[in-house]
Amino acid sequence: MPAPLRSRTYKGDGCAMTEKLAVNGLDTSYIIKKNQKFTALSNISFTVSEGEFVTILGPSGCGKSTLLDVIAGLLKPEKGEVRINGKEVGKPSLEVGFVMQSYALFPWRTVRKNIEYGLELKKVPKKDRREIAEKYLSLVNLGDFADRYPYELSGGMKQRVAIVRALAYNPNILLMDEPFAAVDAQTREGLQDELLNIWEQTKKTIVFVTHSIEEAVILSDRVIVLTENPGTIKAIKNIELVRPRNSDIRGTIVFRDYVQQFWKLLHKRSEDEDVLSEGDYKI
Amino acid sequence: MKKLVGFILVVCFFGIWELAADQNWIDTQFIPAFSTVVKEMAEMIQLRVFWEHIYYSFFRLAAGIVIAVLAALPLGFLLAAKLPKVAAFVTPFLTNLSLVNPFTLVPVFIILFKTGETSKIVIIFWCVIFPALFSAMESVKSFDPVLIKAAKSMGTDGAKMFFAIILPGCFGRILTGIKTSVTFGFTVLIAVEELGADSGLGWLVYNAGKNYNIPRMYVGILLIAVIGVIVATLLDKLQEWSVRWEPKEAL
Repeated sequence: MPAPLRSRTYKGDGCAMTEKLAVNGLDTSYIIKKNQKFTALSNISFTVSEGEFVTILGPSGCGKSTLLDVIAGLLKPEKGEVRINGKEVGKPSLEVGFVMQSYALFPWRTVRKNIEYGLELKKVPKKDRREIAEKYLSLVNLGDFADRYPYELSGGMKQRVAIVRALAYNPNILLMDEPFAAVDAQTREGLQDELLNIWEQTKKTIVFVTHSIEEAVILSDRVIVLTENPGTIKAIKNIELVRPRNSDIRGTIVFRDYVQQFWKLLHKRSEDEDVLSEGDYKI
Repeated sequence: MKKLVGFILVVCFFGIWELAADQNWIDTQFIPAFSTVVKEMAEMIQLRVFWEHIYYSFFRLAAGIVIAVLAALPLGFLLAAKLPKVAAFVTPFLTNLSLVNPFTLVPVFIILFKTGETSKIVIIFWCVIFPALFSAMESVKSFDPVLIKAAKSMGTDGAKMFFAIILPGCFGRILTGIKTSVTFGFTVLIAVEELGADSGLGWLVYNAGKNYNIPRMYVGILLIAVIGVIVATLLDKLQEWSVRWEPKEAL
């Protein structure tokens, strides 16, 4: 009985919503040795609307992380451009929040000071910084840990701090590079729920990278499937599951259906026509 | 407990000293009684010049350390992060330089910088700069690139990267690296003050000995020991504070 679980997403045609992120014809390559080039990404184009949760799904080594680096301005593309709010991304800035797999909290700063870092860069006055940090600490229920150092926290707690550190300075878009890959399975499910909750509350535009199909289906409005070597977009698929969601959705048939479909997309080459429904996109 | 035993041992040391002088086990002409030394010190602390000697030694030590650390930080950062190829070439040379016994350089520094303040500060600088530079380079090299990436992703660059990220991340390790050389530098400083100076604790001891003011000489020696302990303790505390964010079991 899939019907009640499906809800029409409000970004179906992509026209009604404002476009937050646009990636146009992106090519990226590395020089491995002299005269030897490795193409990491080839002809990547997609857009993300405001408030949308988009996941980039693909096997390891397909260039997902490279793509995020380019969007963040950490890496120059060989061809193509990235626009955030219509402005071309030239270098990294507080326009984006970046969350990494290895937390990357500054170990010499307390939890509170970590969250305040971006606000310091923004030259937000001390009193306001405090207030904003408090707000985000309570969003992830870490108020009691405000004055602890990162080494005193568990992996899951560190990642929650890393997420709110990236949100605290109110970036236009939140980029997450396999943020839950380093924690154990249970913590991971907890973090997914928490991220969904944060997303519902903050209405942030999120681009999330993962190699876990389940994670992609649970979290996203849309999933962009990348294939490897070179990284190209194989398909873009809408996930039409009800919001707000939580981990309970794993038990449903529709969920398993989606997982199955993505599995096929990632592992079979030619027979994926039956996997894509109307409104999905394929190269 | 450890502190108590240490304290008792110190008390015993001075007690035996006093007893030995009292019983004429030692020649009080060369080793006066502890009480005589204390009396001499009680007189000396009323003299302005006494405090000036302490001030001079302290100032030289502090100036040498601060200048060395301030020079080592950006230089180490520059070499390790921006010019790794240059670093590979100059490191062996710098290592050789650092192995030159600073005592042998004392006459050189005195010729070059005269007997004024500069030569003493340069000596301390020489003792501290190499370990400071090496530990700065080492800690920049082993700096977690993920932290750099995180900072960069928020638009941190240039001076901000250095002061907000690299410096707080490396400072503790650099302090750890220079701890022993600071105490060594203090030793060298005292020797230099005995050789070519007209102020400082080293000069106080040397001058007292030359004028046959034996109790005063011992006052100087005791003072140097006490100040050595204070400097080492202060540095220890500062270093502990600077790595307060590191897990304790890793230390």
